[in-house]
Amino acid sequence: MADSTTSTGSPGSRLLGLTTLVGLAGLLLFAFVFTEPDVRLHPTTGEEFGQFDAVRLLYLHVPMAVLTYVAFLTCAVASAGYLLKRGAWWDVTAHASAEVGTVCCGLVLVTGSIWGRPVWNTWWEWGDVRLMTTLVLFLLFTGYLALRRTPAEPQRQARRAAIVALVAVVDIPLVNRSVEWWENRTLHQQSTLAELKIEDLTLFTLMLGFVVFGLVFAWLMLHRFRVGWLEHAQAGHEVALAIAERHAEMETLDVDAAIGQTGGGK
Amino acid sequence: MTHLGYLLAGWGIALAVLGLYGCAVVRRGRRLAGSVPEGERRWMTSRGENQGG
Amino acid sequence: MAEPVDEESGEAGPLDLTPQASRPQRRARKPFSIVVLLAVVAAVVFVLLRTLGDASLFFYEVDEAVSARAELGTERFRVVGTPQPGLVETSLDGQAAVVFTLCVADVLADVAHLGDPAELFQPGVPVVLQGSWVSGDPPGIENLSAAAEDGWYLRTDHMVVKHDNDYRGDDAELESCGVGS
Repeated sequence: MADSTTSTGSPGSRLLGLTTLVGLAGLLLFAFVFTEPDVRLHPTTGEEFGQFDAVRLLYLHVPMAVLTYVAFLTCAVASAGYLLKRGAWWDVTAHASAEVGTVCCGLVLVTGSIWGRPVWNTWWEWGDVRLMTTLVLFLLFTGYLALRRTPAEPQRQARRAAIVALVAVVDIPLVNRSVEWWENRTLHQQSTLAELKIEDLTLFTLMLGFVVFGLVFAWLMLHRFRVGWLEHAQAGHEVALAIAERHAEMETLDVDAAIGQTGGGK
Repeated sequence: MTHLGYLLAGWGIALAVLGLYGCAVVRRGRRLAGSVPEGERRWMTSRGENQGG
Repeated sequence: MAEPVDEESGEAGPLDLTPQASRPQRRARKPFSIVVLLAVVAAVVFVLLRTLGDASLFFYEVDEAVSARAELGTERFRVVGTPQPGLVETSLDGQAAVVFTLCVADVLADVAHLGDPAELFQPGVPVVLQGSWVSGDPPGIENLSAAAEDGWYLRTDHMVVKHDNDYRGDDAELESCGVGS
């Protein structure tokens, strides 16, 4: 284990990490062992149908999608906070949540594609509004992260990034509502939870998925925020060092000048 | 179990990416922590550690 | 404190506190960031063009496809509907095909789908098919119990399943339409 003074870990984050790992093990047990596959009997033909074991991707894909929303909404709130208060805390929070959210959003696209192949019979459908709006969301926040690495004065860069985040987050309602607003332009099903078309152990395991991936998200956010805070502190520390160096140079020059004046007077 | 390949791919990729990203974040933190004064790393010191110096 | 001395002129000037230190390891990767930013912008434009430019995106419901049959002509389009129970495996123009009837409410349309159907293709589970209207009857239609038999059928070659959002096992409800679903 790393020395606690040279990492972003703390007793609290380690406890959170341990709880998350135990939770993940429990979730895997529920998702793969305790829950049944989605198999139904057709009322007319008597044949089995449904998603079969592919339904086990539900417990991964849906929580990741919800956490993507949470991360990008956090980024938008923190960005608005930065524009109003101009505090580093807001900017670091916005940057951290955008990065964690982009990872989650990428995983939503990948797991959705993997789930879509057996269930929909396609990896990807160009033009499907749910898929397209999600891809655009991913690209917008990838752009946000690229923008944060372009050369610019820190305050200006933070301000630009905050504006981009507030624009990008407008896509979230489009992603979320697309299955209702453009029902005939997407293969994606409508919300299961909103209509409560889920019950018993399937519902419990999905809820467990929300909790466990919520813990993963909290752990990642905590550490990524601390990394951002260290970057911010390091930049400030470098400026302070540079100022101190300049002061030291100036004082040396003062002494030299004073010595020169004294020497000249002799 | 049906669709085992898809399940392993989906869960495997997701957990691997989250794990690798988590490790990368922790490594970035370790690299940065040494170059920042201790006062800026409040979460890293418990009360006991402070007392112990 | 004495005024600092300008190194070139040797004259005293105001103290310049502008941070001089740079971080070269960051500078090195900044041009790459600009390339990434440009690539992202290009990707967003590509996605928007692809989304807005593809006229075949719209899924007609079966009843809309039937009523627009004259104007659709031989044009390829997508249609969504619920397969009725009953499926005939046959061949069409030397290719393996499945023949079945698609429905929405009480409107029916016969379909001859070339190639293998989707893995989870089942009566009662809506599918989106891509193809065009063809006049005549598909082969094997006489074996379907509730076919449209209106002198037209959909000849399709692309099938995706529009799965429902119901995870209640045997309590789940199936799309009800046509006859016998």
